[in-house]
Amino acid sequence: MDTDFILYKLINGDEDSFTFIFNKYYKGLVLFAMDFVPDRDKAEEIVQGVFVKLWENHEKLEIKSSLKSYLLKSVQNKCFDHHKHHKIKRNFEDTFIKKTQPFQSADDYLAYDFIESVEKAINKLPERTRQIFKLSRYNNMKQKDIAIQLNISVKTVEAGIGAALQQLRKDLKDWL
Amino acid sequence: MLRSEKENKEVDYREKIGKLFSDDVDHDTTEELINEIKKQDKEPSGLEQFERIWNISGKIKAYNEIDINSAGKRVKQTIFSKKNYNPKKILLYLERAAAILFIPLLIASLSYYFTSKTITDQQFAYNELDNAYGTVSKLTLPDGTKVWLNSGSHFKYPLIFKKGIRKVYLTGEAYFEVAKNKKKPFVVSTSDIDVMATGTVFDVMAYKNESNIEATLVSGKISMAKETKSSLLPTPIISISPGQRAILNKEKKKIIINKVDTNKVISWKDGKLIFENDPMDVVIKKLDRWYNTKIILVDPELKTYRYTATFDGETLPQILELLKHSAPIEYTIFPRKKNDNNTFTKGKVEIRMRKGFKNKPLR
Repeated sequence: MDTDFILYKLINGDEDSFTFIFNKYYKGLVLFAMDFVPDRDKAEEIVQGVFVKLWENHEKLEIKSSLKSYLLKSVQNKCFDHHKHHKIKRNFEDTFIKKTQPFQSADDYLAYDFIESVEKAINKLPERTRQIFKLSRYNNMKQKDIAIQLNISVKTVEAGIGAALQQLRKDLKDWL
Repeated sequence: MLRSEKENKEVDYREKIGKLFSDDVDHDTTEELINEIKKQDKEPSGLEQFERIWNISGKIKAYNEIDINSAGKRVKQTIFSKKNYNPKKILLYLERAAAILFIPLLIASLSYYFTSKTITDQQFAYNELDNAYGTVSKLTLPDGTKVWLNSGSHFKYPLIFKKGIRKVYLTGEAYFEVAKNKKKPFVVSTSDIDVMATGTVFDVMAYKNESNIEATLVSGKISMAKETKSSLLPTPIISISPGQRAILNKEKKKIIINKVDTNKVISWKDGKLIFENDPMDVVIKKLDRWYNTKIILVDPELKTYRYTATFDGETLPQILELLKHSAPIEYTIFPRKKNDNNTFTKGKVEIRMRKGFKNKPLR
């Protein structure tokens, strides 16, 4: 698929191209924004704002790289602004330091097939391992809290997570 | 529960992985764990793979919760609710040719008369032409439409016509022989109004310093139309038949239609200036534009004199001499002057009533 041509049509005001770009990138951009703004609703607001601006400025778009990089950069900048505005600068800087190369994970966020395959693979894990892993990654629970909830030791939780990752890596080796 | 040494090692390894991905591990421990895990891992990039899976699994819940349809609706609502959509503004942006793309271009050979701004580093999607004064230029657009540009015109067209519309931008005057395509109306966009056609022959005059924008139809069908934000094509306001001319008064925003001799209107395309009982000020205006010289009628009574003539390749001094024979005028030519910075001032001509004719009744 030729993104250059889609971009060309967008600049010329083709609404179908705008819709196409939105459908292709929206979810991935939201997941990417959540690296900087963990709240999904806020992240969605930010990404929606980026798309509104994309349409408003479509005629004078100057894209030196690719449409994908342009959108990622726009989202990132808007996330930075969001943090500046809310004065949560310190927390944000911590998060940012962890993610030294944010754009690398972005490709995974935009690979919807991959995301869905990861979910399928998680659902194939043995019951106990799956339970531990889901409490950690879907429910965002700390490992010591999982231990309390399941009445097991922290080490058992750690081993469960390790086992999950091992198995998942095996199952998803075609994607990685 | 007793485990074999092998099993112990396996469990130990998993615990290390689990610990690495916990949230309360400090930096030094992390470094240590990474080293230990890498030693035991058979996969060369195994740790990065764990990281990717860990990262994506953390986003699966959110991924499933995103409602893209309602998000799309909100975006569209926001776009359409904004009231600062201004067609004129858009024309300005386009004239600055701000789009940068990576599409390889095929550039057709251009005629001698053009000073074109074709950009060959494949970054701009439009061709922009400024037509030199005193010349008529002809070009053919990508769809086969033939365009004649009059003196001092500025014309812009995309190298590829997009779906559903063939849109070009004009300041000045142009004569079009549009290639037939019912599915893709041809739209000439000027500063205040659009002229829309499908397979037709017509003239559009839209000079900056004129109070009117005119569209004259030779054959086929055209309509004066208004650009809208909600659709690709402009909305037709009024259409005219062959032999008619629609005139939009820019200030009053009113359109009137009258019958014309189309030959007279389009004679310029063959390099001819035809005047037929035209008042002197109209004659002067056309000569002014054609020769890029400031022509001033000093005595206002001259405005009412009417003039009929066909000029085909004469110079301005020749025309002025000819005018003198049929109208009571005297003229003075002030030639172009060179400035200090090597530019030239425009030439000037002053036309006044011949002495002895003043105070005589008009014809």
